[in-house]
Amino acid sequence: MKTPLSYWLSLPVAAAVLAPLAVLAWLGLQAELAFDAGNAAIVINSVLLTMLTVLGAILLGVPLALATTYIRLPGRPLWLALLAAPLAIPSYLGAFAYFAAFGPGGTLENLTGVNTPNLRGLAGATLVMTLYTYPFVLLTTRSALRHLNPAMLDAARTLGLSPGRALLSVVLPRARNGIAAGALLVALYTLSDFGTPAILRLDTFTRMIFVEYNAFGLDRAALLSLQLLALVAVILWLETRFGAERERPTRTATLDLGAGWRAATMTAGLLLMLAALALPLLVFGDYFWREGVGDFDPILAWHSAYAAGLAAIVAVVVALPVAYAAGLGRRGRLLERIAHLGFGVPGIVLATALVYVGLQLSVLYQTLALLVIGYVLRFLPLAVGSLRTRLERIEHHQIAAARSLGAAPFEAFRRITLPLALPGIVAGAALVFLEAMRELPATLLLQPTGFETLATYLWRVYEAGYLGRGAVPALLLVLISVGALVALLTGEERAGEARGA
Amino acid sequence: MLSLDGLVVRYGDTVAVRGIDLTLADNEIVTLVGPTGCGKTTVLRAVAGLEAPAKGCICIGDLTIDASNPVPPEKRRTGLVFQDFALFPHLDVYRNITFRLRDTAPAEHWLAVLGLGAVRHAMPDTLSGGQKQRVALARSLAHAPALMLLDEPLSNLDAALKTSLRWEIRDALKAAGVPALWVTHDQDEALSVGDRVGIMRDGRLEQVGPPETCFRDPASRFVAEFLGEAAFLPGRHAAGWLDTALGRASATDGPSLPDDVDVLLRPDDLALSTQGDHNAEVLNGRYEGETRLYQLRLNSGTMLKARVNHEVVLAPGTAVHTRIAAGHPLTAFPRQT
Repeated sequence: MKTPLSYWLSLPVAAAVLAPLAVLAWLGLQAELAFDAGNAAIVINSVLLTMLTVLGAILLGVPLALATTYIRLPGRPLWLALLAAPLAIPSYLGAFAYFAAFGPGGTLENLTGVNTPNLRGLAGATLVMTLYTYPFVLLTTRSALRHLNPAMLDAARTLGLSPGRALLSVVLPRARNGIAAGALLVALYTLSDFGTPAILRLDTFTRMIFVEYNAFGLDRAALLSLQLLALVAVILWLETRFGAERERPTRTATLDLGAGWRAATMTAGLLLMLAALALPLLVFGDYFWREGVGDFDPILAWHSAYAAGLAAIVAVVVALPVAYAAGLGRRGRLLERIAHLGFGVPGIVLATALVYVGLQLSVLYQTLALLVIGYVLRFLPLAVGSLRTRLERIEHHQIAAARSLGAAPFEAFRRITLPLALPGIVAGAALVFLEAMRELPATLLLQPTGFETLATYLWRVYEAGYLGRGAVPALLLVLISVGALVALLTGEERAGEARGA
Repeated sequence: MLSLDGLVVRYGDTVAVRGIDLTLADNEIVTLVGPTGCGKTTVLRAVAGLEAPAKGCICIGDLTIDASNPVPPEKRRTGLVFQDFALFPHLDVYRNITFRLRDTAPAEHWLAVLGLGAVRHAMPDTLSGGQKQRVALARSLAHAPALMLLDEPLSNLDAALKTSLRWEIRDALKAAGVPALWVTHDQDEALSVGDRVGIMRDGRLEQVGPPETCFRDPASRFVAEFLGEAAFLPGRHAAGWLDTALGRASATDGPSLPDDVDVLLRPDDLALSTQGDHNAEVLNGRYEGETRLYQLRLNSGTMLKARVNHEVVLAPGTAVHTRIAAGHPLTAFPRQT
């Protein structure tokens, strides 16, 4: 059996994904520093923040999932979109807003005259991370609930349980895996997140890697990166242990819990939206109101779009053979898994490795190419994923039919595979583009000198303390996030339709 | 037109096809039938060029394909029809059928013949199963194949459609004058649609021949049982005659038989009556509409099935007389101990 071309093309991709890990391992081994008290504090801070955020996300996400699944809310699709929206907003925007809103001289004091305490450290970071990650739990739990057979709920009711008791004793235990899946995503996101702890000054791994990098301690940054990767590996390992159980629901159940519950749910949802969505808009809107466009340079937006656009194109081109190979056999699926690793590697960690690569390979040093490589390695799974779902729907028989009608392999690829995969290519490129536009830590480390983007400019503004100048880039980033959310939701809708057909 | 000569196909270490010889005449339809995993689909895929032969060769017209010369599928001029239709979902019916045609006249012809005129601009997703299979057939035939290959073309369709489309496809193949290899797991379909039937088992052809021959004079007990209800009654063979407890019948020509044999009895080879010498008991009966099928236990313990007119109603437990009533020679196999 001849090895398919797509395997050969995927091999260098897999190697490129693994290379940064090898670089880190090599660098980390050279570090001469032992594990000390400072390092222990970093571990404790990271683990505490992760655990508290997971707890907060479960406390918010699970009740909201139950409410949006079983209670007939007026305008339910809108509620769902709104409640999921914080996920689309990079948490550093939230952190920036909370940093600016609270404390003496903050936006809240300026607008209302009420003194608010500073939101810094563990408490502030936990609050912000929870507000922007709970939708993970909401979505996975909801999806688990929707795959439960509602007849169970009916059976529990006929056996004499009240609606509330039925939910607690029959429904929730079976949604356990869904909740766990969401919690693990929250943990992964929190461990990887750079912006929130950096802005709210909590010494977690991501913040300290950046600090070490700035202090020219690349080996120490690599050592911390390896420790962080070990934590990530634990989360990923846990993830493999929770497979989603699937039942075949015939219909979705609704519980009529009365107007009181409906009002309570909507009030809670509204408060959450105020905290996660309205407050940042208020802060940035207030700055914009007071300072206007100021000296905002549109070149920033162009830089962001340019780098992200290049990344999107490269990512789909590279993703095509990987996604194709994944459908061919076991070795192909292994290559795809490797390509997925980029998602587990925090941006700051990936960037640390690439900075070192840039230092060794002078062709790449301080180039846009290195930044684009960083984006591609980090967001490749998005492109591979959306391509794969399309390619999976192409039957081998359709290709065989084209071949037997006289089409050579390339013609069959061009006339059947490519047009059928096109929506996936576009969706994958859009996702990579929108993610790369908003990426912060890798951009900070890999941007060529003078190549300032929206995200890095916001960071400089924060570092320099001229928060007001952040209004325009922040509002633009919010706008891009809305675009990402819309793209994601319509993509999901279409995928749903396709499954229904 | 098509000839297979000692064809062997392997999937890694497993041998799916273990040496098949088969020749199709111009315009001949041969059905390949057998249980799941017998290798029938693999034969088809090898002919289409989707699997490479490990040994032996495949001749399509003047093309000779073997392990050293694996001609790619697009060079073979074979038309493939799948059970899942394999229409191109992004092209409408017309563009599916004209996929690689320069001259679209054949497309018009087959659209008309197969009654697809009304749906020519419909997208495949909007068609019924029967329409999809007609489009797939029209697409293949319009590309003027030298040979048609059909892989269980009817198994995704409901029962009522199956029988009518069976004739429609056969007529279209005959009208096109193209030889066809038609794979199915349904013995009724295999017997009614093929000019000849090939019965496969474990990667080998057990028998190839006209449907009547295969059914009435099967080459093995496996073929006998696979193609229909079959029971084996001990008997003695002498000078072209078979003597059994249920009567005497002439033996079909064939390989020489020992004295002790088992005679193949189909349900319609037996007559049943409540009169006369009771030699069997009715165990149960199945109403089939025009006929009834009774399971019988002979007093000797042998189990048989008899098919009789639906007017003969017998309760389980009824003692009956049964005898061989076939007007044709019967097939026998050496006694199995």
